[in-house]
Amino acid sequence: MPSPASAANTPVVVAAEVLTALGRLDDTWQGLLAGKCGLRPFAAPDLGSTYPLGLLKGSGEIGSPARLEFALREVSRPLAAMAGIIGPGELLVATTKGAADELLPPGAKPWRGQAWQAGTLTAGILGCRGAVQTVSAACASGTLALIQAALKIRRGDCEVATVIGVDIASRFVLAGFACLQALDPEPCRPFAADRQGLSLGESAGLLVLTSAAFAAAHSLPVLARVAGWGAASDATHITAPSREARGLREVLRLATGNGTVAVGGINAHGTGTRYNDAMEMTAFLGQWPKPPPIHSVKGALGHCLGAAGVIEAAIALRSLQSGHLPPTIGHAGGEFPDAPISGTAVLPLTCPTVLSCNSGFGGINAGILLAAPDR
Amino acid sequence: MTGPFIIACASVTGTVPELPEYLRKPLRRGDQFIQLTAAAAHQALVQVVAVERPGERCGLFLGTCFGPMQSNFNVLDALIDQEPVSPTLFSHSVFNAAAGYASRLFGIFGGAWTFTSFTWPFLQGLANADFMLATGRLDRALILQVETYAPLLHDTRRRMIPQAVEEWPPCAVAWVLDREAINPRALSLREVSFSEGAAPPETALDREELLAGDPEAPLDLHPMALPLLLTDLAGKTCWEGEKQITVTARFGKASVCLWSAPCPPSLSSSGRTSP
Repeated sequence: MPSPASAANTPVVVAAEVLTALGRLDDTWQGLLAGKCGLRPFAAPDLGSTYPLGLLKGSGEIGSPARLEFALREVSRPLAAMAGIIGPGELLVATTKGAADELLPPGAKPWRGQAWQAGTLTAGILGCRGAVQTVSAACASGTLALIQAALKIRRGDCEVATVIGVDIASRFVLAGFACLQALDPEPCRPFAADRQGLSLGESAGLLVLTSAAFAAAHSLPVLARVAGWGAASDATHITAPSREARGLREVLRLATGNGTVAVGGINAHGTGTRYNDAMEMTAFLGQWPKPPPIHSVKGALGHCLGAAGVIEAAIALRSLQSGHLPPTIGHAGGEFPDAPISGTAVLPLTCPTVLSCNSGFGGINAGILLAAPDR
Repeated sequence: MTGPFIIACASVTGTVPELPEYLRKPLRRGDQFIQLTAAAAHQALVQVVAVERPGERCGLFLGTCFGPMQSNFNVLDALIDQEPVSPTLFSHSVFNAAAGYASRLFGIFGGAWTFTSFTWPFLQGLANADFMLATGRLDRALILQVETYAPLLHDTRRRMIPQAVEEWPPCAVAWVLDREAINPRALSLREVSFSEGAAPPETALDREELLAGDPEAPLDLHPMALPLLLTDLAGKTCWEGEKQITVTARFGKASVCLWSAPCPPSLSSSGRTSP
């Protein structure tokens, strides 16, 4: 049964890396600050249309196992020096579809990139020998995997948990979102009055969590501690969010301990779809008469689905270090004048905590509150 | 007594049973994975007759090895045939679609988690539910493992394992855990532990689990064998004291401990038997 929580097993983040359309974490952060957009026109082979996509600069056909493995290998490369730390620890993988297009070309061959193989594939690349778990919660997968990792550390199941979020562009996913009429033909505009839908991206992100005691014992740099979390369901519709933001409001309540923990900034889901962004604003304005500063990275990186929560948490770490939220690329104001959305400029955090939240298919909502380590 | 307490459990094997009226319309377009999920959840939840819990205090934990496999293949078929992809089909191909349906149909607002793993997805669900109940985040949890397959998987399995003549049957199990012992028979989950290691991909299709004992006994060779064994132990028999189930496989080891108070006479005389 779970062991009691103590300060020693407070979950902390000791390493982070991402690979996005803007590059690694340093490049992505600097690109966001500079207002860069990583979305580029992509002629979708099955759709006869061109959509903006946040593609990785790499190799391999979209949707292929080679591309998935490239993303995993590249994002984990800086962790080679930590092999002794993460090897015996647990691994949580967040993905929605893996290499979904692997089965499209004719010819029988062993599958290796399907969602149900993601855990084993990633464990092999990272050299993880502990328990492996794949969280499949659509666009909230990454945040829920981080929560899982934090819970495992909190209850003493493990001292080290590595979380990888990965999703690559694919014909499968492009066709799926196109048939839902959820794609903006132009680069997406999160929270903008004229937003028309989302833009897809691909990325891999990685965070290493340990207990505070383990980090201290191994002289690991603590980038943040996990100060709260929440998960809740809308239980409303399979694809559309609750218009009353029932699930996300519950997430905010839980993650902030009924409002007792201050939030200095929000890395919102901010996809650019009419319903998601309106739902999020309903939640934020319902939780706080004057919400903390808000931003979304989707206008720069695209919506990276199962990886979104992990890369956004990594970006939240940079916000904690620098004390501000980066611009929301594509946002030109308009519909939510009462909400402090970062727009074209950076916004300072009001205190050293950042909430990263995501919502997804099936009505799942999740949020994780990260706090600066000295707080 | 320590919890959490198993207050209901059910299993559905083979074809989807006739659904109750309130589930038929919302599930009419659901795939087999979604329908089996709802059928098993319904059969477990109807056993819970006492003590209502607010929806926000209830969570759902669904584990699966293969997820909605055929729906995924149907989307791929549409792409290969250069046909438009159905929005409904695409939505149902998402691995947590079934959890989304179940949370809506049964009013579960406390989070719906889906875990995909070749190893012990049901135990992952149990362990996570146990933690949520122990820390007070939830009062009640619905835990499921659901498996449906596809002809392509069966073909691949036959090619890789010539002796695998029987197709795996679609199957779902559902348990309801609660923080309190609200049933006449107090049955609790004392321990869930499991180790998972990287294993060759073929272990997913050539599944072999051994139940500890003297001698060790092989479980059925399909991903639902352990969940079904545990469901049988928890739901169909009357016994007293502690039961430890330990299973080893090429991909790890799992252990579950259940504890039961003496079976009340009302249950003992209703056809339940001691093993």
